[in-house]
Amino acid sequence: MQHRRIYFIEGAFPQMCSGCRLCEVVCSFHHEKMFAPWLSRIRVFKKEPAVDYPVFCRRCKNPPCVKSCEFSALRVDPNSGVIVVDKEACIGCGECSKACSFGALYMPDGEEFPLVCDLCGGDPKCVKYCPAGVLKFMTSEELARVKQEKIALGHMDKFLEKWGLAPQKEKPSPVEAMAIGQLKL
Amino acid sequence: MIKGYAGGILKIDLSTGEIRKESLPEDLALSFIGGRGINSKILYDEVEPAIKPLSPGNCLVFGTGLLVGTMAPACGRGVITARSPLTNGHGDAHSGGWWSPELKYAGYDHLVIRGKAERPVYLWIEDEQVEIRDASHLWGKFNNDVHKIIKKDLEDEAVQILCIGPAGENLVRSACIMHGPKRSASRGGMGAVMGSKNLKAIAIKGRRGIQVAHPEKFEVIAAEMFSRKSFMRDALTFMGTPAIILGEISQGWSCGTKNMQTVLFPEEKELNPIIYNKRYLRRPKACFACGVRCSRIYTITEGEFAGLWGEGPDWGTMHNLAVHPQTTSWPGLLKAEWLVNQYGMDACEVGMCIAFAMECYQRGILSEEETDGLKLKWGDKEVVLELIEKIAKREGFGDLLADGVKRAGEKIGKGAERYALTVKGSNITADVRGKHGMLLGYVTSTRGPDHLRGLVFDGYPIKVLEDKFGKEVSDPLGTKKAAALKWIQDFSALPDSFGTCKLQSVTEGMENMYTLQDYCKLYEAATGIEVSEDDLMEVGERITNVERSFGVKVAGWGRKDDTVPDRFFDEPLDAGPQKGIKVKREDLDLMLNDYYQVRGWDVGTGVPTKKKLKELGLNTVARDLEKLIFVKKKREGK
Repeated sequence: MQHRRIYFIEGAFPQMCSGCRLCEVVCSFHHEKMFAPWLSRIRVFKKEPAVDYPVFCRRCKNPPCVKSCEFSALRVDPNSGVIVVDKEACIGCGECSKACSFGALYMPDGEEFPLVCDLCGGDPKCVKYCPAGVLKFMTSEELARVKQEKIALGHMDKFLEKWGLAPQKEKPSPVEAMAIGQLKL
Repeated sequence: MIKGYAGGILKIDLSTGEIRKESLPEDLALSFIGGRGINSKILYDEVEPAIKPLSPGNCLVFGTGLLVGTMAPACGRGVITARSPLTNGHGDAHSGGWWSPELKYAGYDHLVIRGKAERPVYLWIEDEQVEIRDASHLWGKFNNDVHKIIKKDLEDEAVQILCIGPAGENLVRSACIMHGPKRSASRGGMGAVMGSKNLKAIAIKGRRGIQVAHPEKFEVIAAEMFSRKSFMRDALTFMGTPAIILGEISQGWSCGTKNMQTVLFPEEKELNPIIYNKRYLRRPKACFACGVRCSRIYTITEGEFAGLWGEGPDWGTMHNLAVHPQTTSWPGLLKAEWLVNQYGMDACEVGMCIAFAMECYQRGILSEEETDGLKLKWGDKEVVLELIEKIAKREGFGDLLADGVKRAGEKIGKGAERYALTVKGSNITADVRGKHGMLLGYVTSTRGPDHLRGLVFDGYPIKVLEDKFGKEVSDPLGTKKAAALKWIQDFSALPDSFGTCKLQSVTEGMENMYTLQDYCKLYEAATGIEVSEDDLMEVGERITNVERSFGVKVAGWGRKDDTVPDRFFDEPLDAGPQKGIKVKREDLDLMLNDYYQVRGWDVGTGVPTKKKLKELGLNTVARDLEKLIFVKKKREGK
């Protein structure tokens, strides 16, 4: 968990954020024991016509929010790597929300302390429930491996095929088959 | 307060400006659950027969639902109920989106609006603070513009807005209430009721959390439901409800086109949703907390309508605005949908108005002088677009159609009534010949013909019905439909009252999501009150009976209205597997007798009996109907 963070990765339709806000609902439910999306640590920015964009703590290695706090109320937990708020030291000045580059860390109206993502102790609910699967919980290295594999296979495909080593193509799912006209309803 | 509810009802009188906040009565919540159930009961209690649909006395009730705003799958539905200006009886319209959860977060399960404001106003609800604001700068504006201006006025991008377009202001009887660029509460002309109150929009922002009785249990149940897989749901994600059009194309006939003159429309293949996916589709869109994401954002980048963007279309829009008038242009269809959304009209009703006018023109009942010089030829997309604008503005010929097909048919005369295909004044969009389950469902539904009130789908076996009532319920020409229909009608009241989407329950043939057991489990987890399957079904039955009684009370609906237009009795189907079949009057009579008996209603009149109503705990309703029947008999005696 120490190096893993949440990534927002979209693919081909329909692996895109559709703005359903289930991530906000489950996040607030997990942390506040009630359904209150505005108290969620992940927020979906929505603007018509087509903007749906989840905003969440990137768990920066050199976090501007921590640096900005003059009262040392924010620190990076050495074990889990998440940012922790010391409610004794925090005076609620809001300097950290100014510092955060993503608008991920802030105090919702009516809250005294900033709400920070704690990765749900290693099993982030937003990632677990995202119906589109566009939120991933992985390390930067794992993400790189996925991309490396894609580009490497793209480069090697024609040779592998020539040598008879091409991996077997997976059968399309029923919906994919329908989309390419193989399956009729 | 019972857990799971927001706990409040907001009552606003626009005539006096009075704003009242009441707590949700517990007995109402226990016997009607919420959403459609409580809405229907409020409407029944508040609206007397003398109150006309478009008069200030009519109540416009907005309802959420027990599961709305939680993490139960697809729990973003809301319902809007009023006496319908289209049918004169019970009317309600449902929509997805985000307004319903937001209203609940603001602390209100229901919002009741009465009276009429002196000048155009809009409501601004932010938790406790409720304001009636001037809306003169919004009057006459398109739906998208209203959203933009209000968001700017309130300096908040996140407020949820419900509004009417120009059609609602002009009291077009098929006007709907819009939410966002596409979500609409369409059936029954709720937009006209809102327009008659001079209420242009409602903006909502809520900041109160919803708690449930057993959070851990609730999450476990919801998680299990989210993990279920289904081909139908994947298909909906991929192409939305237009997937049905794909089915029609591959089987070679549609479920009614050219105002039900035929089921053949070979050019329908031009409307293949896969073409849409390739050319116009950009992103998926979802309602609140829904994993299906059946709505989609499109843009048109070239051609006549370059620059157009919107959400949709769904099956209802496609079927009524393209399949019925037999147009084949995707951009034309998207533009038509955009227009009905911006003017704020029910695409189903408007599409059928257009098809009706086209048939009258085809048969020489309407001449070019009467149609303002328009040649109403089948397949002409320009005519469709022109008529949508005329209807919304009540301009010339459009004024006639703006009152719905039934009234238009009566006004035109010359036999046009025959081609106005309605049950109780609300249009029929899909053919019922050779489909007995659908036929009985359409004629007995409490708000006019409707597949969303529960149907025994003919030819698409629903396992839970076959298990309970035997294989013969799925026989399209069988007459043993009554018991199964009663069950599924009562069950259909549950998704509406819990606030979950019908596309995810057994009513639409998808048996893997929201079964009766799921509702029981979620009810218990949310409220902490134990409930059995029979209890929930009784609530469904109670809701159906209240709605039916309201129709009886205000519009005099009864057995005489539970029928379909003559076309279906006289003209046989021209193609498809049911070729040559028409509806037999004796079959319908037989099924109705059966149905009223199963329901415990009077077989002669189709009115709920005193015994049945008392059994369901509806004592005041029983008294009302008894009085009504007494007065009627006295009058007939004279």
